[in-house]
Amino acid sequence: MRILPGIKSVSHFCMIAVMLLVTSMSWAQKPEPGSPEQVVRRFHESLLEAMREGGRLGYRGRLELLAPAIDRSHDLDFIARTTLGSHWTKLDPEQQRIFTDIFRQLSVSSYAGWFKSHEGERFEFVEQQAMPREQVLVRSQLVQAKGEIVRFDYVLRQTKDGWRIINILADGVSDLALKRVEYRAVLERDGFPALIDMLKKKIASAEQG
Amino acid sequence: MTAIVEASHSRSYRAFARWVAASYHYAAWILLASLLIAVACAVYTSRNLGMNSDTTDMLSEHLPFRANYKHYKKTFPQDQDMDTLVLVLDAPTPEQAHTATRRLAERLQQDPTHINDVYLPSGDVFFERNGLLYESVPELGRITDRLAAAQPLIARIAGNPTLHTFASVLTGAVEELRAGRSLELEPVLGGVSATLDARLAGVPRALSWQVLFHGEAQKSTYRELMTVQPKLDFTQLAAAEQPIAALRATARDLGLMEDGSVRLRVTGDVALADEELKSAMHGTEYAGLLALVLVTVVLYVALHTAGLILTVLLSLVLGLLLTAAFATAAVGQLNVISIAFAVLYVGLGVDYAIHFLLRYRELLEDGQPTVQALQATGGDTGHSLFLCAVTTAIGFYAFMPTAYRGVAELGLIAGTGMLISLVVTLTLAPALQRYLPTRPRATTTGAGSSLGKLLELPLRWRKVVYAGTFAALLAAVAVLPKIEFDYNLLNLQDQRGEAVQTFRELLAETEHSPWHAVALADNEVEVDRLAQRLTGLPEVSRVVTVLDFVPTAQEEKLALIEEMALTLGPLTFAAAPPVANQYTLAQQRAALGALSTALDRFIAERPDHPALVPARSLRTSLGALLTHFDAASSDDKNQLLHAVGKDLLALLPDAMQRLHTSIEATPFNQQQLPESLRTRWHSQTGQYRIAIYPAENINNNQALRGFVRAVQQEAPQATGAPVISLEAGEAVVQAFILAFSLALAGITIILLVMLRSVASTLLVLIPLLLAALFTGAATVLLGVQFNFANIIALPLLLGIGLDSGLHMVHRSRSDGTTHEELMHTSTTRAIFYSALTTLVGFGSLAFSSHQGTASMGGLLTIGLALTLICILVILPVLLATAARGRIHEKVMP
Repeated sequence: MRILPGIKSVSHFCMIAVMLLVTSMSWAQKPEPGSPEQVVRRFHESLLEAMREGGRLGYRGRLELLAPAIDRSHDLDFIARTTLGSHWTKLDPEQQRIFTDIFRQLSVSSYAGWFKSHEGERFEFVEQQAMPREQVLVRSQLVQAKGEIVRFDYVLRQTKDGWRIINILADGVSDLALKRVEYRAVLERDGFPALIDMLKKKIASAEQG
Repeated sequence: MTAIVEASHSRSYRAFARWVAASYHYAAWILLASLLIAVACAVYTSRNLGMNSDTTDMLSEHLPFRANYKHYKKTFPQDQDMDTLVLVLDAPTPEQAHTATRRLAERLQQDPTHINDVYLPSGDVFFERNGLLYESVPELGRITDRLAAAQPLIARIAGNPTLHTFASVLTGAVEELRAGRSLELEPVLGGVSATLDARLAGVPRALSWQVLFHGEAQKSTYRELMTVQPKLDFTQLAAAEQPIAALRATARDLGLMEDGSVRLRVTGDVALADEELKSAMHGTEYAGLLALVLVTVVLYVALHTAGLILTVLLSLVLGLLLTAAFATAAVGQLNVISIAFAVLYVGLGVDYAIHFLLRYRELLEDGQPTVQALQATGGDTGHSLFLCAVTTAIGFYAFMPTAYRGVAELGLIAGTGMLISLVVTLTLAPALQRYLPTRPRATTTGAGSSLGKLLELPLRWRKVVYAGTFAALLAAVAVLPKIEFDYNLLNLQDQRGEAVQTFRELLAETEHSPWHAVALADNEVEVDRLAQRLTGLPEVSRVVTVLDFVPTAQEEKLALIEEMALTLGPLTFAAAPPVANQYTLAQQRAALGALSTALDRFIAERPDHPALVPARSLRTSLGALLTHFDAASSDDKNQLLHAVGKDLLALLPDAMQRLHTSIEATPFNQQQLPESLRTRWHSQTGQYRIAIYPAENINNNQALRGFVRAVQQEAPQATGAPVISLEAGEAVVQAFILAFSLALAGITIILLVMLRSVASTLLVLIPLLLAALFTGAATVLLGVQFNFANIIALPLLLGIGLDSGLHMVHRSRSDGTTHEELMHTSTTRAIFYSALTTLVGFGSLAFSSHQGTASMGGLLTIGLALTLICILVILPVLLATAARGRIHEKVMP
């Protein structure tokens, strides 16, 4: 007999939530905090900061700056899992933990390695599109000093912590696709330890480069 | 006893003599009446005789297999196995096959005058969207792996799908491969190489990206099937002619032709029936003409005078018209079997006239004047012709109680035809003699006398004949159990026909065999139970039910498809690939040259790389292309590169579109299946359809029987084409066995009544039975199997064997002629020439392109030859022995 009031209170809550959503949408002149677009913008801001301050911070400094920013914008656990495809389930929990950890290090160090100096580059937001399966595509581009453009498209999905990037397409090329092919080849040919070795080498080369 | 026979004989002798004399006397009136009757019959028949070409209708509806099929058709009226056309589309790529099928289906759906329904087993939008859910979990992972490998290439091409971009992207990829990156380039390199080779070899075909995505090498053809239910018009002889013609016209409109890149072929039950009818009729025209010429030649040899030949032919025409008119009045419509009455009538009707006229000529040669000769002929042959006609008619009437309506109606028509033939022969033939007087020749015919001399030989070597007959009898009995009936209707057709060849091709792919059994179940539990038990049978390759259309592990698969979608990213193509090429010839040449150089470097530096073989073959193809390009004129150069670009990239947007559609798969249950599909498997009445596919190619009779019997063990109510074909075959065989048993009983009784002698009855029956036995054995030895077509020849053989035997026995009993003399009588010659006319008339069928017709001609030839041996070699020996026995009886009462 307690069920009915329970349902009532849930439905009240829902109505309030819907009303809040509607009003917040009507206010949304500029990107609302936590929206996919906003997540991407903040990530870009961190990248630009790392570039501007690159020389002063050094590789370690950039790493420290970008690591929390990437954690806030990317769902790295998910990306790591997806790159391995069916191989993921074949790893034991310890291997999964090691891989996820190394993958995170690689992602952060790659950004810290690439974005180290600023020569007038800027990011431009192009558009935000809904995609199937409640994903969102944020299109943006990196305009280099000489006017050259690199397209960066981000696929985001809603996680318990908010919208997070789960794939990046640079000029249309899927990062997930590239990594999947590369990792699978090593994994199938030489096994898990070789994959971890390769990732470690990549991290080391990112530091030097 | 003998006295009574003599008395009755003389009574009947007088009656027939009077009849014939009267016919001669009132010749003018009879001829006039005959003409009027002939015209009336022709008009009546042509206006009223219908044709029912529906073969399934011919068997009794009470047979269990027909009841099962009827129930099935009622449950699933949109039945896709029978009464349909199957369109087979073959294209060099799956994309082209798919697009062509879709377009054709759309157009056909807009033609309600000819088409009832169109069904695409694999082309439904539903399957396009949810197709990936039918893949296995590991395969989905592999597809994602391959797409991941292709994604970077496609992404770069997508923005600017030109040959230049493609070459540059590929160059970059080869360079990366050389540098040690893991890229799965093998399929792309191989596919591009094969496409270039095809273009240079002058047999261009597009590169199928869909095939590349599936990691396969491109096959030479891809096939799509479509089931079309045409509107059939059974009042037409060719019920499907118009729908098929309309369908082909539509296909031509869409550019689908025999020789186009997408090849359309039409098969299925309806097309097979249509083709069969056409090939059978096409064969008959020539065979008919040839037969007429040959029959005239034989008649000339036998009768020598134009007047007598004309008499035979006119009697034949009148009798045939009367019989056809009778068929119209009594049955109303002919079917594929009963139309054979014409064959029977021509075969037997001619014989009566020949017997009559040869006796007449014999008497004329003896010097009798016309009227007396005719009277004597009437008396002599009238009685034996009467005996023949009545006995044969009873034999045919005995077919009527069989379950096979085709045979039953044939019995009625042919039996009556025999009586008509008797009346026509005894009436029209004498009447015609008044106006076509025959002058006897001074000498007897050379051919006839040498025939008689030849036939005297067996009488001198009776022991040899007996020994030979006995040995042959033993041999025949030994091989008799090996007599086979070929149920396969395909074997009856012209094997060069498109529908037959295509159908056989489909049968060979047992997985999608158009011949599969169907069982029904009332609920899902039963569906599952039956499906499991049927799948366990070694004769069964697979079982399909509605449950199979609801994929398992949907959640897991959808997660994998989501992963696939994510990995692939949102690839978009420019709405239409740029037609105008923004690159100059030189730029394109340079891009291709760069690719060639990159390949060279790769081959040189990575000799143990797994991609070496496809890299080499692409380098070779590219080298050939560049050589060809450099030698061409500027216009040709442009054209060549444009064509190559199109070959490589034309199908990419379509493949990507289909891929995008397929990753939008959503979970679904049985109720959410498209209605056109669901109702084919789960009827409105709540019954479930279970399709059972054979493990072997059931084009083979043993495999067919094994499959059907195994399925029936588990599902006794099973139906479908294989079941019907086997059961119908057995029903027909049973019907014929019953018909012939009844005929034999009827003939025996009527012979006993009319001949009033056990010995004479036996003398007629023994050669008949021997001929039947020998013919059966000969089919085994010569490899001529019985089938639905040549089985029609059996009644004719029965009639000829019976008539000939009767004539012989009658002649030997009525005259006191010695048996050597008997061989020189008109009776022997008449038997010989009647058989010969039949042989040349129908033996020519053996050369028909329609295998069924040909086998009928073959069987008839074999059967007639053996019948002649039994009648003209064995029977006289038996008669001589019997006569001795009688003398012996008389001496020692």
